[in-house]
Amino acid sequence: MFNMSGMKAILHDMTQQERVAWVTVAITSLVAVYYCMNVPISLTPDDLYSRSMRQVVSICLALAIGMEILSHFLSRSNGDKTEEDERDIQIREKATTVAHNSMIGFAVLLIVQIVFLQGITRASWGAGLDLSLLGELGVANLLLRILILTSIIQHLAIIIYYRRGV
Amino acid sequence: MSSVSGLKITNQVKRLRFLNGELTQAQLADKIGVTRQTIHAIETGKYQPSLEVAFKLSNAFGVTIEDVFEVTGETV
Repeated sequence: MFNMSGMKAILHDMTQQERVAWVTVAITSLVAVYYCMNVPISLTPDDLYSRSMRQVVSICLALAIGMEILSHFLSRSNGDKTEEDERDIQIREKATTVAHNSMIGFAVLLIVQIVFLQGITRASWGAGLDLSLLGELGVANLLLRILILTSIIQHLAIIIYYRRGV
Repeated sequence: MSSVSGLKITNQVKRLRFLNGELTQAQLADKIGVTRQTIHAIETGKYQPSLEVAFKLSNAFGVTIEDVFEVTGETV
């Protein structure tokens, strides 16, 4: 059975930043799974204006708005005089560094994938990287997935730093 | 307890809180301008505060910084 007082105690022991991080990880993961299941990597411009794409975008937007509203309520002060201190700032900075490094890593992987595909298909190297090898909107789609994944990693890092120490 | 390359830093914050009129974590946090969760993290060794917060802690207890934090292990 759902223990409301236990839940309140857990929330009371978390900083505002940690509470928001939990909500962000949960909802962004939901958005990521839903997006990856419903949007193929090799998108075409026609797909963008399809009925199913409108539905995907609407649900993702609704989840994002829901996340903002929930974060707003969870980040309200629980009576403490100090809402943020040096530890919170330090954790945020470290998590941001982790996210930046992850994003760079994923971007390099994306470039390696394109180079690999270009090598396999023996496409011309005259114009540099041939981004259309991943589909017309493939690169944009993959960059969006990288951004979503990076956001999850950043907030997961925040949670881990709070739980395990800086 | 924190350990960086053989250096272990422990603290007496919890003990000093009780010796100073059983201060709660929230009261101590308000006194030195940090969050209650940070006091908890310091007590459990999950966080080593900055020098500024360390001095504020020792001032709040009216003791020296060495009375609050102890360094054991290899020292330079």
